[in-house]
Amino acid sequence: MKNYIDKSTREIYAYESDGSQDAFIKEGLVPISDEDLAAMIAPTTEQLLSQLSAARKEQERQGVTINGIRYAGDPGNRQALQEAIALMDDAGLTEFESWKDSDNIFHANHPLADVRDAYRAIGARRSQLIAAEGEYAAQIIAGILTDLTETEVVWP
Amino acid sequence: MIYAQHFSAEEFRDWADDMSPRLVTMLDVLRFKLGSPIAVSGSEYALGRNLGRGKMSEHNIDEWGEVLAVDCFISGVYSRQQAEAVAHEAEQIGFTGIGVYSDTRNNQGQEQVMFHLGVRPNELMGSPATWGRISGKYTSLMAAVQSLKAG
Repeated sequence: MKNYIDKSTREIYAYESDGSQDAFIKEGLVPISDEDLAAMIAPTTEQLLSQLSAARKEQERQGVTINGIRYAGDPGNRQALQEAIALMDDAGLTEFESWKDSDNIFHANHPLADVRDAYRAIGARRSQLIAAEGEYAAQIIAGILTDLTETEVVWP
Repeated sequence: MIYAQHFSAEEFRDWADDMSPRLVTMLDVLRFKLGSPIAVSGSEYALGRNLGRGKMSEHNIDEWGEVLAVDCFISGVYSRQQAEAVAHEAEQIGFTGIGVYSDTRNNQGQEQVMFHLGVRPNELMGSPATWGRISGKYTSLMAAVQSLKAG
């Protein structure tokens, strides 16, 4: 493709490099190289930090798996787990009569100990993820990390 | 390279003609304010780098067209308090990218805190981008400062 820019609006236009679309090239457009284009559309530091935060939260949402049962790690589920544990502790019970997991599967006589382990594991993983996000954020700010592909960002 | 009272072109090695005049002037002012010599790190990456477009390191001459940062050691600065004072002075002068590395050795091979001082145009004076590095891991500037021994 051949790339052009409208300097008044900063809009980018791309046309076939074989010249078949040259008739459509608007008057006043200025050609730019692939390198310049890549630099122009590169995300800003703020955008990268925002993407990084979103990626970390997505990792968090996936949660943990204890004894084959997944417990989501989103804020809503963390709150629900905490409430469930507190309720069982108050009632002096050790098993849930029925437990609906994060994949909408029901489990009878579900042990409170597993739920407690899951809640702790989610907390530990969240802590690791936030630490990793902090390190990657510092790299973004330093200008070292400029894309968030899987080869550049590996979550714990 | 533009004139600087405390720096010669040789100190910027092969990158002397590519140094940002703003950076050199601000280094000169920092040197004056601190009253301590500033030694550019002997690392080949301390001044300019050719990283191609789109890489936002202040060292990347391909992106910025000039060298916008130096990695350097400041004579006599080893401790937490000294490093914090340097970072504060650098911010007051108007550097817009400040990094503190607590895992570095100076040009004589001794353990010494290293500073990245830059003048990136996409941050404002008084509100610099800051970061730190401890044992190879990137972190906040203050965490890196705190990791140094107390004076």
